Amino acid sequence: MLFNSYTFIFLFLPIVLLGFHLIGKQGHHRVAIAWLVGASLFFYGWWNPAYLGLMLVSIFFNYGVGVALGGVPKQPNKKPILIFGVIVNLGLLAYFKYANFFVDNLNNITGTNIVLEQIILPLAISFFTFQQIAYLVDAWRGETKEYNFLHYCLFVTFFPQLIAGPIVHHKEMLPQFAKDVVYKLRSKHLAIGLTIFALGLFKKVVLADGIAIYATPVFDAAEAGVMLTFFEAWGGALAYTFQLYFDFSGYSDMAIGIARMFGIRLPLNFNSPYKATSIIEFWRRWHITLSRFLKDYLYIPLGGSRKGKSRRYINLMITMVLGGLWHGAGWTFILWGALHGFYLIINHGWRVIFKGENKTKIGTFSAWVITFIALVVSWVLFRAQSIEGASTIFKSMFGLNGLSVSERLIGKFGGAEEWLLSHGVVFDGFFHNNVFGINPYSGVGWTVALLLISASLPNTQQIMRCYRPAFETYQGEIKRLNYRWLEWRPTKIWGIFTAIIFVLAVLGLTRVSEFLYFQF
Amino acid sequence: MNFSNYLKFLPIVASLALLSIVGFNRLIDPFALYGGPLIEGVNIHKTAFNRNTRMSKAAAIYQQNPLAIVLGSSRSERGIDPSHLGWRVNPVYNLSLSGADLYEIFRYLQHAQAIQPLKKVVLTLDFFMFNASRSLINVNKNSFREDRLAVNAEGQPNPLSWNDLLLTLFSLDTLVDSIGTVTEQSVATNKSQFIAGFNKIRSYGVKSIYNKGQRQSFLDTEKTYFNKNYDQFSFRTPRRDNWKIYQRLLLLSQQQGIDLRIVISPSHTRLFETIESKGIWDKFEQWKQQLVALNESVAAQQGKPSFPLWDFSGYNHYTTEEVPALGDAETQMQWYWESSHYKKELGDLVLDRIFNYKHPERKIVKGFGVLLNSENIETHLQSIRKNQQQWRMSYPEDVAEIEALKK
Repeated sequence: MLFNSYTFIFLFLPIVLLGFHLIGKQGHHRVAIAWLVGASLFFYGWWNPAYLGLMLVSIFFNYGVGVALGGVPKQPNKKPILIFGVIVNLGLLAYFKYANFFVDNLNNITGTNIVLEQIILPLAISFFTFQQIAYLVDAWRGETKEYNFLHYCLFVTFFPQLIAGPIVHHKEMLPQFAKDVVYKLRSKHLAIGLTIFALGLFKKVVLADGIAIYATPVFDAAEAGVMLTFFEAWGGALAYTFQLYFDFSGYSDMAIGIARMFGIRLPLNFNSPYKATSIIEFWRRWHITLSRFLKDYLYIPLGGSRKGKSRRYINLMITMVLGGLWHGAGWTFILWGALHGFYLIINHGWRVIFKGENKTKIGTFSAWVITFIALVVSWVLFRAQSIEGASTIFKSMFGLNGLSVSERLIGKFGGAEEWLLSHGVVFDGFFHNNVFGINPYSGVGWTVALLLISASLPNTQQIMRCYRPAFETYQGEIKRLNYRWLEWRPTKIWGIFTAIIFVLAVLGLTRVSEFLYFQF
Repeated sequence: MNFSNYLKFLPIVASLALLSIVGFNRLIDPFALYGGPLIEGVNIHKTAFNRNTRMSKAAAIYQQNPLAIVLGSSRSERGIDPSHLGWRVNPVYNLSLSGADLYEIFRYLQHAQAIQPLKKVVLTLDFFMFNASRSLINVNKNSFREDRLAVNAEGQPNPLSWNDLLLTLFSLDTLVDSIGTVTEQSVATNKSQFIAGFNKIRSYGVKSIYNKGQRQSFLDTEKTYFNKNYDQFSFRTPRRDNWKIYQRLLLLSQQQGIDLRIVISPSHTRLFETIESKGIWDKFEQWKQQLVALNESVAAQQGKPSFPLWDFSGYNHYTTEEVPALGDAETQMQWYWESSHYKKELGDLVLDRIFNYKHPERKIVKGFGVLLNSENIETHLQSIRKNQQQWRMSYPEDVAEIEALKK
């Protein structure tokens, strides 16, 4: 079930919320937790009940291994149990997510013809695998407490974070389930949760889906081998840059909002990543719970920065390439991860060379511009369906297909026109393939608007800051706003604002999808 | 305000907002779905109609109950006029769909037939419609929806077919188009206007026509034949068998007693040169052979005469019209917008021919439109090949220009 569906918003969520609080009010806390677990399993099974069993097996297995590992920290004789547990988890992930990819590549390289049926990726497997690996490692380290099985089930399956994160940590979640206050319906939590949910839904449905119609046809055309113009390629790449951010961060906001309606806090997952002035900073702002996981359970165990400079860079690269692969089984994701590894190495090297230099305004601004462009370029790899598709877009973005400008500019350059023409500039229109949406100029408008929103407006967590909307990974990361009046309070103005964006978002769920005039 | 008052306040504002938006959508009716008052300067021009003709045309059939329809792609949507005097039935609706593939055409025929049994149907066929591996299918996928049609593919009534009316009222996209409709009223008359599904365009959408002239539009169209869509031209793929669909379409028309006239589009010779240059001429000939063969075999099965099948695609006075030089933005062609889209003027001649209608001021030059059957198909294809050779010799520059698009 998706958050952005009528069934979820108007049926599932109200029923689960009501049931939870009715049961909780009677003092039956265990039953209330069981109700939530049941609801979460239903939520998951709605998509494909066949995979419910897989998730349940995974939960039983990991809880069992966790119990076996518990007790005295880091007992050497228990290390094989940990290794076994981690391998089983990774093996499951490898089979469901990467087996097809592996066999395809093997066939390509060795010329064999092994046929493997298309394995359907079980929803959320990437998320619940990581959460539980973290749990096992911490159990071995002796950092887990005696946890109740029902609580453990809820920690893994809790539906707000089950299918798209945030990737929660047992230390944040499990203690909350043991608190009595959670079981009382509080209008405060409901009001805060609903507001965050409305903001998230609006980001996903209106903003992300709104700009998607400018990104999708450009990437489709690239796959079909259409020679895009410079502006079409950048337009499509930028549109996707914003689509992805508003989609994913909107979804995280919705998760945080829904959990809050139950009185549960989730960790912050996005913190205005496009305000970052370096790639290092970007990764402290983008999908924070994933970077945190990769750092704590991959980069640091690999040795982190403790084994010398070159090992540090190698570790960084390994972490980012595997992080890329986690996002999807394909070479484009591996390259995307490698590109970010490369960015980070440059970034760290730069910091070593220019240590102690003063920051200037223009310097900060340039750093923001460079960081942002580097991100846009990387998202092309993330979105493209194939390396060929990505390289078609890159060619146009880097001017290898020449530069096409508007016909209206003919005669506007005076004597320079000859020179421009001889250097590959043509006057065929900025967007002559008709792939940057039906009306390219409204696409430009969307792009500029979403750039301004993501780079200069406060984010959901800053607006809601007075009510501690989410756990911080890095202390103090939710920055206080300069303008206090922008901070949310239960007032009429905020009520009108929230109601209107909620209505617009709900109406946005019904798309009257437009036909994209693709040369025919 | 405390938290619980805030929670009570939200649904009140939300309901008010919802009601005003739905009411506004209902009043403006941007896709002409619900009927209702047409107000000068407010909503009389439905400028959003063509944004999703797969939806708005499906709904229009319910309102207009046509006795005759045009089926085809954007070529016939712009070229085949429902008000032509040769139809002799009324009302006629142009149910052509931009970029249509054969399956969509078949489904819209079923839709119209289910709502109002049809007397006449003009089916205009383009070669690209039969390409089962065309990735454009994926593009259409979003706006083509089976559940909005009156019947399902097996011809059984579709319980969800009125869904659009309710859903579009409660839609943000409709709100955007409602606002667009109101603000575009003053300029609407300059844009394309749809009359009974027919797109009465006054100028061609591609801007380059004004600067580089029509030749640029020709090139733009021809270029698309060299992208991946045509690399694997095939009539059948595992998920789509266009010959089977064609047979079902013929069978339905035979069984329901529809007067069906099949037309192969009168595209410009440069398009045929493009097909040749792409290396799929053999497929193009196979296509015509099979169109003829199946038309006759289905008819024989039903014990009825086969449908008239007209080929307008040869080399004749009209299809060989001279294209203005590159950069000549003044000269307007008489018959064509570009290689594949013909103007209404040519479409009128097509209708004159297939309806055997004599217009006092129109004359058809000999050789335009050949009735195909299994007896003449081979000689017909041969004579086209011969004409093609002659044309290539007379227009070496056009041939070279198209050849250059390959890279």
